[in-house]
Amino acid sequence: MRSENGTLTPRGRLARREWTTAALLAPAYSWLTLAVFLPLGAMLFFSFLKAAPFGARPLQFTFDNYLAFVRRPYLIDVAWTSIQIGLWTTGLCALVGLPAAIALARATRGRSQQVLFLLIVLPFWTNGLVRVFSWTMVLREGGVLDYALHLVAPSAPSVALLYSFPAIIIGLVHAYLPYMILTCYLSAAAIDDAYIEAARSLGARTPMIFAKIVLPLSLPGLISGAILIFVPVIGSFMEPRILGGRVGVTMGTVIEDQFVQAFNWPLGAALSFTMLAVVLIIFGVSSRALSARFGAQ
Amino acid sequence: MIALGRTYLLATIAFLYLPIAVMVAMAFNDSALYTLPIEPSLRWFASLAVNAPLQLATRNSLLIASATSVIATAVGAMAALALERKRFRGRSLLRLLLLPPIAIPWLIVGTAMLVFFFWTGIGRGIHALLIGHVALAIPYVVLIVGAGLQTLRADLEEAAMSLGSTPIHAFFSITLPPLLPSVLAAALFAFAVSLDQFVISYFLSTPGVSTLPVEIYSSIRKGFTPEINAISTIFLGVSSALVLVFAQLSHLGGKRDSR
Amino acid sequence: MIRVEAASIDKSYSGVRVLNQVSASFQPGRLTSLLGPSGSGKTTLLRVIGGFVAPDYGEIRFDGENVTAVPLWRRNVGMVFQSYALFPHMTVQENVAFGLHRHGVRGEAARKEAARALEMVRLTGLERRKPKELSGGQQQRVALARAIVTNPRVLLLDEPLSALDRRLRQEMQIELRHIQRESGLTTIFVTHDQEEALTLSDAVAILDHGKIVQEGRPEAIYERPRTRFAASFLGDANFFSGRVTGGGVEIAGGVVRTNDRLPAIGASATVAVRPEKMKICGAQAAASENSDENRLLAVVREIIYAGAVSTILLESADGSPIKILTQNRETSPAFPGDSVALAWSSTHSIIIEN
Repeated sequence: MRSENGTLTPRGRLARREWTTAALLAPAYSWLTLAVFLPLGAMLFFSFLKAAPFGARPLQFTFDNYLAFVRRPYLIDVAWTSIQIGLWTTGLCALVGLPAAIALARATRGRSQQVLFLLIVLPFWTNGLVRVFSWTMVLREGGVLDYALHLVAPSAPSVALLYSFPAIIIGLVHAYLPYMILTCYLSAAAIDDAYIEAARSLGARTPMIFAKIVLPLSLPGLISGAILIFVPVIGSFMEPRILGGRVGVTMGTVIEDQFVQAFNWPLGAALSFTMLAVVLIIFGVSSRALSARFGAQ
Repeated sequence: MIALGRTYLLATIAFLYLPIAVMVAMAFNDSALYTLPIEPSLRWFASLAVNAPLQLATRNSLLIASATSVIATAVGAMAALALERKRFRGRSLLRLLLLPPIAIPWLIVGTAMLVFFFWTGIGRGIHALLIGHVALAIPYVVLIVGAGLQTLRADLEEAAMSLGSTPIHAFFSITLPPLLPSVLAAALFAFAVSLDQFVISYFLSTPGVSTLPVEIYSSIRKGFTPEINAISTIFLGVSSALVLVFAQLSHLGGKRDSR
Repeated sequence: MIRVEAASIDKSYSGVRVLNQVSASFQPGRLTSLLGPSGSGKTTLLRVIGGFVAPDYGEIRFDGENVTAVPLWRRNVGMVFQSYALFPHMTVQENVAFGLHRHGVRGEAARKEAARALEMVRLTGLERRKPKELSGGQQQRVALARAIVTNPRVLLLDEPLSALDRRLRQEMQIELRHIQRESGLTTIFVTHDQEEALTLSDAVAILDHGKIVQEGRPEAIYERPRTRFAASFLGDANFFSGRVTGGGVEIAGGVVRTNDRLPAIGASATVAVRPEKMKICGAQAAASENSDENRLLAVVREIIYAGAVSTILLESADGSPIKILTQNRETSPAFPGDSVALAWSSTHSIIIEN
């Protein structure tokens, strides 16, 4: 380089700048490597083992763990249950959350909008476990729902929803609804009032405006909300355990069992990675679909 | 149409708060079997005072949350500074690497930590919980502090340096003060993330060393007692207060029109 | 007052040459504009001079002293940023006093200096305001006061007026000129606005693609642009290309005479003529005996009225467009569709490099 011919060149300063950048980044990324990336790598490694490599046992590689769905047909039922839970929860969240988000974005203003927004995201940051626990008191036999029903209709049969499929769905919808409202709200709030005024000036009535303008433009929020909900829901294990009892056997609880009860870590790892693959495929497909439809933003 | 929208919105909020209200109400109910109607009592709060495992778990939770908050904020803010202010190759890849801890289901991350920590001899317990919680909080801190940095123009530091500030002085006198609310918000957020974290704690705690959510979970699994309502009520109060302070600091919910 | 020199400055960003062997000298106490389109390297040159970025090659000298290795914070330059870069958490007073404190001036002395600077920019009374409580023009003044209060060795201005509206900008131009003269600071001013460069500067350097294409007094560049780029970027120009003959440059429709030195006979050459130098005379006066006058036949296509002046668009014999500027002293000299003769003195035919 020409910079070597004696005329001043601040190469030293440049090198120091790169060094600073590295020093700023190193702690965070070392930490993430130690706590997230290496563990995921280790788990991937484990998923190809016949047995966990503890003690003096030799390493034996196998692909068997990934064939679990073929070897153990009951897992297919479990997976189906998980997917059903995922679909129901996501669907109900969309059905309830989208109108709520649009109402928040378009039917409220200023200070009250801020307060309502905060009210919706607040439970989202309170402990999920506590919220699931709350539902047990509402749904159990002799619980609040049962009690309220008998106040209205004393002769009605008692309702005991706890430890049932609907209980799991109710608890999960309650847990994840704020996600849906949040993402849909961001889309709906971004709709320019001018579109609506333009439609109105062209003679569109309110239902028409809702159907042709507000709804389609809120769709990106709906889709990202659906992803944000579906992915963790199919991996959930605490909600099905508490609200579903023996009904609540899902992929999440099966994986948890492998690590906590059965100590079949390789199988648990393989099931986790199968689920992770599904998650990644969902992310990949939906992000492609989103960008194809709404342009890269 | 507007009125309908508002009614619907309020109904939705009622749905979100109803069970929580029930849970809190039951904490003040004398009956151990949650029978209705409610007979007011504070006995469950009183009995918390002699519940040693819950107290220990609470202490652990607070300890881990505080440490997580400090470490994750320091480490994450540094990374945010580099990611926002420096130009280097691989920056977008590093940004992308922040996503897995947030986006991958906790069940998978938690079990992976369990496997790895057990295998390498790091083991479980307080230190393992801390390692896991900090890792989960770092991406949030980077995002929050990064967002704060974005609102601060990079030329402020240049201006300070042209007026005679060394880079270090410029950082502390010019960049840090306006950034402080974001840093504080990030610290609070990290605290809340750690305090509320259940799944990862569940896999990394030992029978002797656990956190409050883990302890609540095992109590629920064992059978219900209104003591859990009492501790959950306190817990809920603390988390809500944290979120409200966070919202104030970060202008959550948008303060579009006011300056 | 300090002479600032840039010697053979090279600077690349990720493989793209932004500055290419740029050398320039900035006269002590004068205001020099760096004028060029975006991407011409003018801001980069300013930032290299200030020490905000290090050059890949070359030297920056202040009064002969090589300051290339002197870091920004010890170089003592005053910079006014395009965005003003006022410290949002500090008051006007604190913003202005910031540099004084860094230079060891404190307490009452600092307050006095700051007050003097604020008076210079006519902001006395607003000391306790925060930047966001000020209008754009006021923020601009604070930025200027902050930059000059430390009595820097050189004052750098990076398109400081571009965010202001037209009227305020013109007002600030005059004031800036005034303050610069009063402070006597060697000043370098980056702009892409040719009018601003002409109004403000003692000297102009025109940049294009990382090179200085011409530098000099504004009127010198305007009257004698050296290249087609300089002619069209600073002001407007009509270009006539043709072959060099004995009497001038032969183009379709005649020979353009010039007082400039002509290239060798037979070579191709381009002549630039400023629109206001041309005037319309009657069509019949086509053939003139006056050898100092150029004549060219053209047809009026359009007249754009703009109050004091009108722009007349014409078409020459070979169909190329010509633009002239006339003062609206009397009634319009022509109407669309008219065939007219254009006349200009041969001193205004400028031979340029293509």
